[in-house]
Amino acid sequence: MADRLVALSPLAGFSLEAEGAQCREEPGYAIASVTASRGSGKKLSTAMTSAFGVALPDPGKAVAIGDGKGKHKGDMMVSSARDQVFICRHQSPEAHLAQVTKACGHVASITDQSDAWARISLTGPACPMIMERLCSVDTRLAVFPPGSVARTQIEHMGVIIIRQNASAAMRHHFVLLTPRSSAHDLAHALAETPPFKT
Amino acid sequence: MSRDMRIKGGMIDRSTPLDFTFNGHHYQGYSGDTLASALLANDVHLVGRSFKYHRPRGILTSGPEEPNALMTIGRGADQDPNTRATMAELYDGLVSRSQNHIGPLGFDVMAINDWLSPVLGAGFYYKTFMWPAAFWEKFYEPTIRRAAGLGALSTMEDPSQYDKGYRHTDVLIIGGGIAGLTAALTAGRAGLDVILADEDFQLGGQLLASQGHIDDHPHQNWVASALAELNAMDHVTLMPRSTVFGVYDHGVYGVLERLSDHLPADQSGPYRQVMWKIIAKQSILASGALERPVAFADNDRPGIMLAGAAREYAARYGVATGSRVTIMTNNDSGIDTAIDLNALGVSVAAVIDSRAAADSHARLPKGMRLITNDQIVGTRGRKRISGITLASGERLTTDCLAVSGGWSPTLHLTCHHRGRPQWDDQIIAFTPGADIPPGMMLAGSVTGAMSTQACINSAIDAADAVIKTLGTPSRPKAMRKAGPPRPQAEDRAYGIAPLWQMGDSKGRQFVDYQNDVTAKDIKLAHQEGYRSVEHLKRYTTLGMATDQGKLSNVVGLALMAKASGKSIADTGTTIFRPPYTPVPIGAFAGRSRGANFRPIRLAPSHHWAKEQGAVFVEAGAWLRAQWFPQAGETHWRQSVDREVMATRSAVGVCDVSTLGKIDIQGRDATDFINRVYANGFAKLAVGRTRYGLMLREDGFVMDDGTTARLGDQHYVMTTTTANAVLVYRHLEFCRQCLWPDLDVQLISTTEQYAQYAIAGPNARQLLNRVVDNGVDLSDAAFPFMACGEITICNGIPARLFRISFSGELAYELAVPSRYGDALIRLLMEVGKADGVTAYGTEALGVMRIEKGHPAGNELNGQTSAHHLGLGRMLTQKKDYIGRVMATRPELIREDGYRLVGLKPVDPQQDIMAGSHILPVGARNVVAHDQGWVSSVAYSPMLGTSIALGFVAGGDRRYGEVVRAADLLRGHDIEVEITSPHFFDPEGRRLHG
Repeated sequence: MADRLVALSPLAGFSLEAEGAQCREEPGYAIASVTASRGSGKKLSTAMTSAFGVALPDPGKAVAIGDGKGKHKGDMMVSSARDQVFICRHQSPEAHLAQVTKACGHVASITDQSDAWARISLTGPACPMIMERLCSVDTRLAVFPPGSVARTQIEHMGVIIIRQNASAAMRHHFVLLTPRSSAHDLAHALAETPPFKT
Repeated sequence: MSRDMRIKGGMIDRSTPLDFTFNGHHYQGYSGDTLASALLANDVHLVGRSFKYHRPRGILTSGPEEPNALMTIGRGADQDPNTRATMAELYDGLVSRSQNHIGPLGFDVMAINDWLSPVLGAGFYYKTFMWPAAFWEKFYEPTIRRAAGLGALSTMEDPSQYDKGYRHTDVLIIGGGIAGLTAALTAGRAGLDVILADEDFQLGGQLLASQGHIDDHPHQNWVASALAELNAMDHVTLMPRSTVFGVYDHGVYGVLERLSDHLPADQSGPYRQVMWKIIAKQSILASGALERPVAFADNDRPGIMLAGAAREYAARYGVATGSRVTIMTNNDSGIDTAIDLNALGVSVAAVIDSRAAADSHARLPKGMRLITNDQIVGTRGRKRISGITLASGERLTTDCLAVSGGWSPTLHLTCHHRGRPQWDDQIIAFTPGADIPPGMMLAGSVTGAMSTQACINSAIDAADAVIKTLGTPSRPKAMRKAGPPRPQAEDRAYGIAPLWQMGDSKGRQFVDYQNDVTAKDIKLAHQEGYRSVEHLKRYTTLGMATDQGKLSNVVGLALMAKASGKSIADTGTTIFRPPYTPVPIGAFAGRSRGANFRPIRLAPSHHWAKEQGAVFVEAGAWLRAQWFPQAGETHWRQSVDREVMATRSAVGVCDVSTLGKIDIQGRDATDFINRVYANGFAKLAVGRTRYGLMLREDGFVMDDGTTARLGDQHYVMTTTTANAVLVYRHLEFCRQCLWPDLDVQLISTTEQYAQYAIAGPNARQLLNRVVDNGVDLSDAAFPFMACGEITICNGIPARLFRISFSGELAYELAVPSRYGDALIRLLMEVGKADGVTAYGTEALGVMRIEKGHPAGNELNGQTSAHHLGLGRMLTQKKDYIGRVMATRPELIREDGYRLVGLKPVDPQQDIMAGSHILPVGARNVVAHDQGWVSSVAYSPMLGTSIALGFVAGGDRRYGEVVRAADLLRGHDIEVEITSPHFFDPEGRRLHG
């Protein structure tokens, strides 16, 4: 019998650092897509609330799961498409899928998306000048406050943009989810953007 | 040659001298200079040759409308032709050259054209170079293009990098003069998000070019304090060096920001320019006005310039444009120019006013000579003006003639949604019409406001209207503050009287300097019947090229109106389209060039394949391994033949992760799949897989693939690599729009799984080495077309499908993508004992052609199920997409095209893809065409070239010999029509 296979994250630990901005891959998050069965929206929301303590986010929104501390910093539910949410948690995909299935398998369709997306965080006061070079969506703080989600494109690559709460020093914090197979090109696009590119 | 023409004052930094060259001569300027102001400071007026007649030309303006001073800046691949010296900010080490001359600028041999000018009038080319017709392309046009023209491209790849960006704002203010600054202050104080863009590197517009006061502050001081206040507001973004070049739909503005053009190469940032798409709820156009010249004989000599330019060179750059400046005007701005020049220490020889009298004359300094009610009818001096002759007969000596024919509002952007300017008899100019782009307000001189106070008032009105339209801004109240009282500034009359032409049309009176169009050309065009302004433009080239008629348009129309005896309002005007000023193509491309043109998707085994030296091919957005060359293989066929033979004799592994995978769940998933596929799916058992054929609504085949039933309400559908997105979109359309009542949920899982085909007689043996204990791969437990969820390598979840594209005993094994890299390495390692070989898309193609499986070449959107020989799959037992249209008579006729195999009669011959099928002995005409060759391969198993193709009635013609003719490549051979199933037609190998 063969040994266990070694898992590789999509970007193998990619990171960028510049004056006013930091960018890095955030590996280790499992993602379950959850879509309510026809007519089961309310039941799903109830099931989620009892399982994770928060109700389903509205379209274009994300909500944090748990206390947001330690290992579970960055756990969240992200509205990803019409009637569909991504439950993202920092744990093994198998355990995550099992837990989500137990919580709402009776009222929703659940699909493992843990390996389909690269997760990249972008923080720092220079975030607006990075985002405006990459993306046509209006991500100004006033119109796109923490908890906002946009499913859009950057350099022809699909991307889900989520704004998180940021510390006073960082001022801005974005999470980008992008398909695994082209994630290296999104990383390249970020590296080509000032202030990362000088 | 060089003389220091600097005077006191100006906004240049005299502590930062900058060296530059023009035509190889070294000069010095200062930080804050443009190339034009620095040349004039060195008393260089002759800077170029005209387009057609190669006449000596000087700097005419101080802004974006410059038609003469077009330079090539930089060297080698970096050279940038047709740069307006008036807009090029000086930097240390700048290298500039004049254009369009053969020999030195001072002695251009092409100036012979000037002597030939009597025969080179409007339409000369159209009338002259007509015979013989063949000469036009080969001889006349290249010759004319060499003789006439602008700067040349380096023809090397542009080494500069360009970027793009997107900015959102409440209000975009276009122009940073008095109106733009006032509007920005008003909107900014109200808490609106403001972007102010100006093409200049210093904001302030005409305030920088003129002497005067606002609220007792000199213009330049007022600008400095306004900028300080704007800079202190976080929600205000100032964008100097940024040209708003186009107004597009829904509040989108195209803006070109020049980041590095003003910097020496070693100080440039990563990007030369940024193409911004600014999305603004409202905009305020405060683009000001452009001064225009007057047509008179020899009005193009170096040293003749616009009055406002002479004023700006003196006030902003501290440069005297001559030591005896003469001013010719028809309005009070010319009088103000004389007053300013005098105050700045520039010697004014005389002021000539075409008007008989004006109140402003009283403001002229005592002792300055004023000539009224007179006109200029001639000038002297070949490379620099030396004197003028007046209609009264008087001859004056001068080395700079500053002309003002009045001001035209810079309304170009108001026309970008096809708005038409309207004629205003008060200011003798076109002003923006009623149909300007939605969301755009106007402020300042672009409205026809000609005094500073009128500009301030209109800007406050425009900003107030924007504030009212947008309502309460998103900014907190704390960020809003009341402004000081309305600034007070001069509010004098403009006093213009029409003056388009001085003297009759006999001499060379230039209207369009850039294209050498004269008053006579316009008259001639009218005589020859070109009455529409659009025809006038095309026939004479008036208003074409880089300046797009910014100076010439109104004068040309006025002369056209005069020739036709109509008013200018009745003559009409051409309108303006984007871009306002030239935009480099590189800026439109941005980062999308070379390898960065589009993103590339990498398969899970990519890094491993690269290590093996694989040759890759683009398949859609994916890079796929085409074959894996091994030591000693010198031709791709050797690699591919080896991969095929090894797979068919032992076992091969191929990355098939790129195929589309769609997860389909829900109570009605079965019904849904049954409706989108043409063959039956209602009775597919859990744990089984079926080949499915999907039609478009029009009955043609859309895609094919296998769909596996993983659970009672859970399927995974595969699609071809190229059609993955198309099929997913189609399914979403069906789900959301056609059958919203079904309970179905879809999501793509293409990225989630790394999937490998394991094919060949040893496939099961290899697979057994990685699956966990208890997974039974025997034919009985896991037969052909079985599927299931299993574990491998001690508990890693996987999916296994027993499907085959190669015709061998084959499986597809899928694991979560994070294990994809490790799995290919493991399979290749543990499979050594089984003779494992990696194969690429080329071997995959050979094997599927050997088996007669259709792929992209056959599923080209123009073939039906019957064409593909799959007509019997179209079930009659259910409804499905495409069912009705698929039965159209032409698609199902018995003698229609059928997928067949083709084998060369002489096995040594190769069949060419794309060949036409023709009967033996028939002429090569369309009437004899019987089909085409869609896919070809060399079959190492059969030792000959084989092909798939479509032949009329082909399924009833097996054994018949026809021709496969490729007339493009001169290839024509006899081929035998066969069954498409070349290899193992009974399918014994599938079952192991």
